[in-house]
Amino acid sequence: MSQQVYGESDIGFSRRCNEDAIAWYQSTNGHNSVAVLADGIGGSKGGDLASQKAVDVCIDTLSPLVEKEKVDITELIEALNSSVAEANHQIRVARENDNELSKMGTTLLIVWMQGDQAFVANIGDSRCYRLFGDAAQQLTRDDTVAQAMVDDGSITEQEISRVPFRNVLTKALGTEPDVKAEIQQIFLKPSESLLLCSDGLTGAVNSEVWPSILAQQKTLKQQVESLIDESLNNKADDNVSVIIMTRQ
Amino acid sequence: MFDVKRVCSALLSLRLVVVAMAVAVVLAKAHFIYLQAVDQYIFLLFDGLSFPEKGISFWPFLLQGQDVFNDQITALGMVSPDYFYWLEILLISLLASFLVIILPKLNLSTGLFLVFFILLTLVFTQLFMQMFKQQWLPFGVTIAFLFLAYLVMIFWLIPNKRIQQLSAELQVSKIRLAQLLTQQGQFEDAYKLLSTCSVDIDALDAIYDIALQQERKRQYHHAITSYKHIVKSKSRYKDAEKRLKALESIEHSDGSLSGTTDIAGTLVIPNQKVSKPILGRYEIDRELGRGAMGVVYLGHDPKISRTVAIKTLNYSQFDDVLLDELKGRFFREAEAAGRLSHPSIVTVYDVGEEPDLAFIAMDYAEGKPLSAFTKSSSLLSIEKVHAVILKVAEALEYAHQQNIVHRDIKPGNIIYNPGNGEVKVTDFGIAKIVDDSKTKTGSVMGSPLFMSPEQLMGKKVFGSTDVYSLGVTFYQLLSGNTPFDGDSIATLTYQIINAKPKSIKLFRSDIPASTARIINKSLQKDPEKRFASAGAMALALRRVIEKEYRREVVI
Repeated sequence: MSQQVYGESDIGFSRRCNEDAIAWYQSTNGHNSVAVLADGIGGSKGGDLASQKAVDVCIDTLSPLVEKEKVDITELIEALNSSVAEANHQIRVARENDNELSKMGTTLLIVWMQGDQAFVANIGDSRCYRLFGDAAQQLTRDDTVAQAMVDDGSITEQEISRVPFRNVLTKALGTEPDVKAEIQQIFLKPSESLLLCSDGLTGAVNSEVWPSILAQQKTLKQQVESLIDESLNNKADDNVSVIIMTRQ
Repeated sequence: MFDVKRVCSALLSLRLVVVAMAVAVVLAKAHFIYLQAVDQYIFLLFDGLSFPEKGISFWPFLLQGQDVFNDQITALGMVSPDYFYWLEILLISLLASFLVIILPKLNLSTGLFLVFFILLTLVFTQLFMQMFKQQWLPFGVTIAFLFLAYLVMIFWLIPNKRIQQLSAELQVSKIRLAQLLTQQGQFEDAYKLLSTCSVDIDALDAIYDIALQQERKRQYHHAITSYKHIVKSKSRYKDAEKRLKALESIEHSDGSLSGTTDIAGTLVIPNQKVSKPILGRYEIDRELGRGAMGVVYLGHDPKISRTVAIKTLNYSQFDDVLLDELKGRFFREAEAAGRLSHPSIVTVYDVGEEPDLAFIAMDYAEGKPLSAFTKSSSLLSIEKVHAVILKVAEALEYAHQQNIVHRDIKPGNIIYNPGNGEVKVTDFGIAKIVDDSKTKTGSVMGSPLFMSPEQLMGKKVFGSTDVYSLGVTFYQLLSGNTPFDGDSIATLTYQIINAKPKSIKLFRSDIPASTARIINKSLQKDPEKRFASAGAMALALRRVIEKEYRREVVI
């Protein structure tokens, strides 16, 4: 079975620059692929730089591995961890060298797909969803204050929108000397695909309506674009990025 | 005073007619026998004067043929001097110039008088030369030309005077309107209007006024355009050139000045050469610090020379979608805070808006924020802390009775004057303005250290939330510590919502037990278990002060 990956990133309706960055890499035989999505933070400066740096480092370090016929799990997890550590290190060096960039950081979402397995590494509030039939199931857990409050039972999911620090990240690349991604292993059925997105998409289009939007499109490119178009129709006030990975 | 271009074009056509007349007269006088009528009349006059016995008969006047007339002159032994041919051309040219250049600048009666005087001079010169010098100087053609050309001019002059008067009136009205627009802050419209005016000192004054205002409103690009306009029209106009250079130099020296604010959202307070910026009617003197929503400036109201603190809400830090909502909230909250009048609450005088920010002008309270007294090395005495907290509690009670919750009570929002012990609570309602930010780093929000559990959980807040925050403030002023701490917003939030506060006695064993009880009661997670009101907390404080420090508390 060969894999297909496609993604796009849009500045959104009201932002002045695109702080999201995306990239993907597929092996020449089409059996393995890796996709990376990062959503930069940093107030007015550096967010775009941090996310781009994170994506570049991950693609650079992981692409040689993608070409290998068979990668065992320990080797892969080690590679994912070291990519995250390297990206974190490079962002911190850039922060120290330039005062204006001292507050930059980024979320990071890496999805590795080989055969019927996928490995998802996540830091921050970008999300990975499993798409099957008429449902989209969230696989990642947000590293935000609001999610932490839901987890410890302080508030319910419904109360998230009223919490003052809801968007503040509890974990991000670049803000701490050591940061570890949460890595999970997923098994995919042939009809299932994975969707990676930044919070611009989840903030503008409810995940419940994604399957019906996607079902109207034929190609992967059209599917990605239809979701971005819908978020722009809803005046997405953040950058919107979407990557879809399928097996055929 | 008049539009040079328009007058030029009108003059051009007129000049053509008059000059054409002059050329035609010079070239064709021989062909127009009628042009000699004047000469023949003057000759008749001369004849009558010289030979009174003949008697003068002007009527019926019979125009004689040129040859016949010349014969009569020759018969009397009169000759025309050789220079006359050139003299006549010179005279006609001079008169033509006089009519087209000088006459329009004179008023009607002066013009008429001058023309009449020249006509008489010519007639008498001709008569005089004829009678006493036996010379024939026929100025008749010149006289006829002057008379006819003056008639042409007079038909144009009368309506033209009216046009000039109207355009002068128009200019005055335009300038007046531009001044009104300037007063209303519509600089661009005012400038557009003035740039259609003809250049005179009043128009330049008005443009200069606009340029100064633009400079003070930090619209440096526009100010430069306005100054350039002035300098182009009149290079030595007041200090326009100097101001232009100063503005251009700050623009060139720092690219970030080209907008109205820098990245951190600070107003650019330029060097001495450029006017101090103004917000609304307040002149900005310097930056005081940074508050929850933006930079705070020290300013003054020039009209009543009152010193004010100006808090700004800089629009550039917010995304456009949020901004309208934010502005609405800002003005609503400022209006609410403006209703408060209490000796321990900073008075709000005014709110206003500029293109890039909104601001609140308030009383400038002398003293330091209490955040300067929260380190263990800089703590106030226990007794003073009690007095300060009592005053704040009473101010809060007053505000709560007006249905206004502060929402952001913390040492940084309470100004304390060590000189006279005065306390002023500032920033009423401002927390509400910014608590819906979309930031991911929490930088706009500040710290949740003083926030109540219900506030952190996004629930509706009442006066009891201020009681909680005042309890944390009390705790910190006494001990230099806060009841909860955490290395991140997430852990701190967790602790505030779920953990038991550390006892103040851990840090400070010398405080009265009753004070510790007040703190514990105000820090209750359940708002219902706190003091029933800020007034109740004030009462408890008053009892402690009276008992422990044996003071009658008079407020």
